[in-house]
Amino acid sequence: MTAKQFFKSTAFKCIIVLLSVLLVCGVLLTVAYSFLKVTEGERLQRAISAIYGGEEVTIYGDDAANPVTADIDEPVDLTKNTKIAMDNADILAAYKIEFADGGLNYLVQSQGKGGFSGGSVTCWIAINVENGKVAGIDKVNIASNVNQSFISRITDAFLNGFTEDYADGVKFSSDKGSPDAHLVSGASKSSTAINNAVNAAVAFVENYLGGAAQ
Amino acid sequence: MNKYKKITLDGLIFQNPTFMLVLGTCPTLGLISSAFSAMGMGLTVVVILTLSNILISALRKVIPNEVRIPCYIVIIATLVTFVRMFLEKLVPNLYDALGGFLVLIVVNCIILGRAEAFANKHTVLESALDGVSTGLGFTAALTFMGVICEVLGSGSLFGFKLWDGFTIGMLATPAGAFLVYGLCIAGFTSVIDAFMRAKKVKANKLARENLLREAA
Repeated sequence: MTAKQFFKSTAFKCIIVLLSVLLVCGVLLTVAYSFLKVTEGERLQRAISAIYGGEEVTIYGDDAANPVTADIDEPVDLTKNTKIAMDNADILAAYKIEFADGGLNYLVQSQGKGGFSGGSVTCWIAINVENGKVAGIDKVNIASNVNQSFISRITDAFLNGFTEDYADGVKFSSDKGSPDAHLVSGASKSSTAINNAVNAAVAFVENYLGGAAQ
Repeated sequence: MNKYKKITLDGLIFQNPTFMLVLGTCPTLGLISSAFSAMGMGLTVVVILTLSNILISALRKVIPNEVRIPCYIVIIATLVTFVRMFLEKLVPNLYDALGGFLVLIVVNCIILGRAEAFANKHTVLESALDGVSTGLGFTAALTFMGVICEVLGSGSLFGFKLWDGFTIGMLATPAGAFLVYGLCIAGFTSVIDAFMRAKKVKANKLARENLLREAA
């Protein structure tokens, strides 16, 4: 086949059409992404309004001027997108929230592993701290998930259970054999990932933030 | 029958993708435990199906036959990614409720099926109408089954608690959804069969009367 024959062939036309479609779609998606990208700031605002409603709060840790530092082996500035590995979860972000009445919360974004199909669930966990100790879990919200097809089965009752059942030293488990199993039937793997996220967030605040960061 | 009316009725009823063609069963079984998720998935499919039908119909004379399927997949994947970004930005509740099924719309056989069977042989207007009516047929079917499964399986409707106590837990699982799906297919096809039989009997009667009149 000569070059002239190739340029007139169906194969050449197919390649050009396919590449053109790919190029146009790629450009359109890039433009759309620049308008529709959800920034970390928006995610934080969504979490704050979902968890604290209209309550007036002061946030620390949302920019470099107001850092929240974790005392791990050495101080780690959590505003610098640091991912901290814990047992079966990663801590993605942590913010210190102060209420008008002087109350204190840590809002932790934790990605729990062990979900369905090897995926994960990322949660926002508001942890109440008194005198440098974890005093309770105020709220747990789901931020996003990977591969969790049945995440919609996770009920508010399950998420509120973290607030109701929290006690000092408790570890939430989805072990079906245990009488204290904390899970949603039909979404047990997603429940496991959420339990892991909450356990890691509590341990993180207890061990690395708590009194030290105050 | 007017061709637009035929396209509309086919999409909604006579070729309903869920009950008559049994297409898109994966999101159907996964999402009908909640009426909100089911309706949300249906409406998302309406948008993607309509846009993909329009684009594929408009490009049908440009795309060579040999690479039509890869081109369709690229177009559908682009639309799904766009809708995904749109929902994540503006309707985060629905985005969370649809979970992994949202990205799976790329390989939803209803969308690729309509592109291959209808959009690449018809005009843009007809294809758009087919997309809307088929998508609404899918939405209606999913919402109908979602209401049944949520009311009986969880005692709630669109997330609002109706009663505490009596629920059939199995209906909130894919196994229960499969049962409801099967019963709905049986009910829907028997109604359509009865309607078609009645129509045929009426047509035969009319034809016989015409013949007798001509003979007299």
